[in-house]
Amino acid sequence: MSRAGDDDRGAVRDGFVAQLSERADPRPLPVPSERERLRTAFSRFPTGVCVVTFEADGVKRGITVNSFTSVSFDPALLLVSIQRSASSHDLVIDRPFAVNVLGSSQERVAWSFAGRPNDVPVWVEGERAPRLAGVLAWFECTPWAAYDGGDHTLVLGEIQSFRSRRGDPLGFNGARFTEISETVLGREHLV
Amino acid sequence: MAVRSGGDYRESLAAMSPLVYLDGRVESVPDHPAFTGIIDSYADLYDMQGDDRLAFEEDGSRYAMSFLVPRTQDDLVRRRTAARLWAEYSGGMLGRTGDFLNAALTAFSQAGSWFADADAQFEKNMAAYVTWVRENDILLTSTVGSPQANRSVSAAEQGGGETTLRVVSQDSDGIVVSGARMVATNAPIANEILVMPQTVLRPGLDDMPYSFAFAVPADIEGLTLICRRPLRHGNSVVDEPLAARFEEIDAVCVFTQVRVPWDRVFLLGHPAKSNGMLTQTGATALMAHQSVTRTTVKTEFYAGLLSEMAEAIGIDRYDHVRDDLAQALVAVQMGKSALRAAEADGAVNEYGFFQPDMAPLAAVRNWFPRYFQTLPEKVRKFGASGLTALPYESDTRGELEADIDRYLQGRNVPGHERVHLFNLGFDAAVSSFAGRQALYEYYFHGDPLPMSAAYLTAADTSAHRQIVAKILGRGR
Ligand SMILES: Cc1cc2nc3c(=O)[nH]c(=O)nc-3n(C[C@H](O)[C@H](O)[C@H](O)COP(=O)(O)OP(=O)(O)OC[C@H]3O[C@@H](n4cnc5c(N)ncnc54)[C@H](O)[C@@H]3O)c2cc1C
Repeated sequence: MSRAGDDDRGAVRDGFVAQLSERADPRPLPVPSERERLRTAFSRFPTGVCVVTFEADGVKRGITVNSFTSVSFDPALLLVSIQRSASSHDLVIDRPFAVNVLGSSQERVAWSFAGRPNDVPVWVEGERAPRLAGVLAWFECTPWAAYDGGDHTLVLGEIQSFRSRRGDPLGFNGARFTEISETVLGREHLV
Repeated sequence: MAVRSGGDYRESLAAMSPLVYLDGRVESVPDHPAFTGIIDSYADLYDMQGDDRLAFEEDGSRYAMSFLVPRTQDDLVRRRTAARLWAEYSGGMLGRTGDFLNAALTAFSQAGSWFADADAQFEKNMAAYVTWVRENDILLTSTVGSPQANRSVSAAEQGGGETTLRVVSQDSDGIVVSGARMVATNAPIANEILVMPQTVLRPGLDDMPYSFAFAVPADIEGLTLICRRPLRHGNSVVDEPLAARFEEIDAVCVFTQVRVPWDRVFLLGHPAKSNGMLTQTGATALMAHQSVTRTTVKTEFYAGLLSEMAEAIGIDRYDHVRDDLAQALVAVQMGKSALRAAEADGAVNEYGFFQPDMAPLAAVRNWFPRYFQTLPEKVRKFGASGLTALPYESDTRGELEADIDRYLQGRNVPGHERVHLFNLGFDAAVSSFAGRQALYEYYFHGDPLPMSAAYLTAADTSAHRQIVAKILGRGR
């Protein structure tokens, strides 16, 4: 919209700016990097949330991942993609491990293995690897193959045993945890 | 200059030329009939600042009390006393008097490190801005909400992403913003508009262009203020005791490529931090201290009005009327008690100022928007047909004077006085002005529903449950 006859407007008439002895330095919005834009684009794809658990040197460890993919029925295979820079990367690739699918009330469990340790996770002794209590599904695996995936390694496990049950899963969407409602019956409180 | 007079305020408006639409372009805000009443009232408020209870002295200058940085409980009492005097002037009907946003600025000026945590430049910008506003006793209003296109999607997605105010470009001079903000009450008669961050922004790239706080002059190039229809009918202050004097107009703010200089930018590009700008700086607490003061005075006004009306028509002995009056007095006491508790339980915060305790103020903020709705209802109940038997002031004089003084007399007042009193009741409970007041109070702090949800989330009920658990003999 333009205004006739008002051409002396703007900064000159701005009483605040006019009296400043020192002008402010610009602090523009940062231009997002290619990597940030790609990360954001990836985050548009909603996923569930899993924790990969294993034991190394007598210590139980876990890594929260959302890169779980079912791969094969015969043999029974699954895939998780593990960041090379993760401290547990080298330990997990050639050991038995378990994949635990988290329920909607287990956000704190997810955080616990994503850099904010807490005392919420409850361990269960598995046959081949330690597992987590209260999950919607678990798969105990032996290493099947590991493939180069750039700055990640694609770890395939052969499923040796598994269990699953109904319940609302924990979701990950737009870089935030969310609750995915399984049914219209409402939220199930995991025990 | 520091505290200004009504004359200074009028001069400041005369020197501005905001682009205001109200049934066509408003050529001169100070001369437009929709604004004369409210400008007179605001000028009165500024004139009141000669009173030492409304100003404090520092380095030889007098400043508005709403800029007093509270260091002790007594300072909060001084702030409240000043807020109360202004609120009494309008019976709490004026919701955007300068002291409300000055409270926020006072907190911002102290919470420099909060802004510096985003960028040291933002701290400097805010400090310089608050100094200027305080020195010149500038009148601010603010605007937060996004256009109401489709509330089932986020603010950023309203109208396909084309309606919500956002940063569209930036250069060495500043940011350029386009889009709309739904309401800024008083914008046409304010000097400056504080454009606060949209609440509930999300971290990540998506909400970056929406995460900002800045202030602009109300007449900045590219800003259009589109007003709603006025609620006063242009009658006398006897006919329209409230609407004629206290109507704060609401305006939609349309920003078309508005250039905001860097000096006026207080936060940019911190979506997660934006959500906490008011609460984390202590601004919410100081603002609530002012607004609870105002709403308590407003309750007092309604209690007074109800008492006057009941007495005027001789219903003040009936039990149901007395019960309603008692409830209003209880509400007044709740408000006063909350203010005293907030002051008494206040503490020096991390920024070094004495912050009122938020707990009692939060309780009132969650209660009053709903409670207020019952006050006009009581006025209608008490007044009944008396709220319709309201001739023009001009008809209460002249040839009808004798009839009116006879047939519209009250128990203890002549007809024209009773009409005047009931006109006040009409404006407080029945007129469009009253309807807008009800709307305003309901949404003053935001939508009450998410507010009470947040209130509950933040509440610690463990002590209450402990009482139950003990009685049940259950260990916890
Ligand atoms: C008279 C008046 C003056 C005002 N003055 C100012 C001002 O000067 N400055 C300023 O910044 N603001 C001002 N406001 C705005 C005020 O802050 C808002 O009205 C308030 O925050 C509510 O937002 P909204 O109006 O956009 O309502 P909406 O968010 O559009 O809500 C409308 C209705 O839909 C419901 N609803 C919306 N979204 C959801 C959801 N996700 N889930 C469930 N229910 C939902 C709400 O509960 C409500 O009942 C003013 C408002 C009024 C009425």
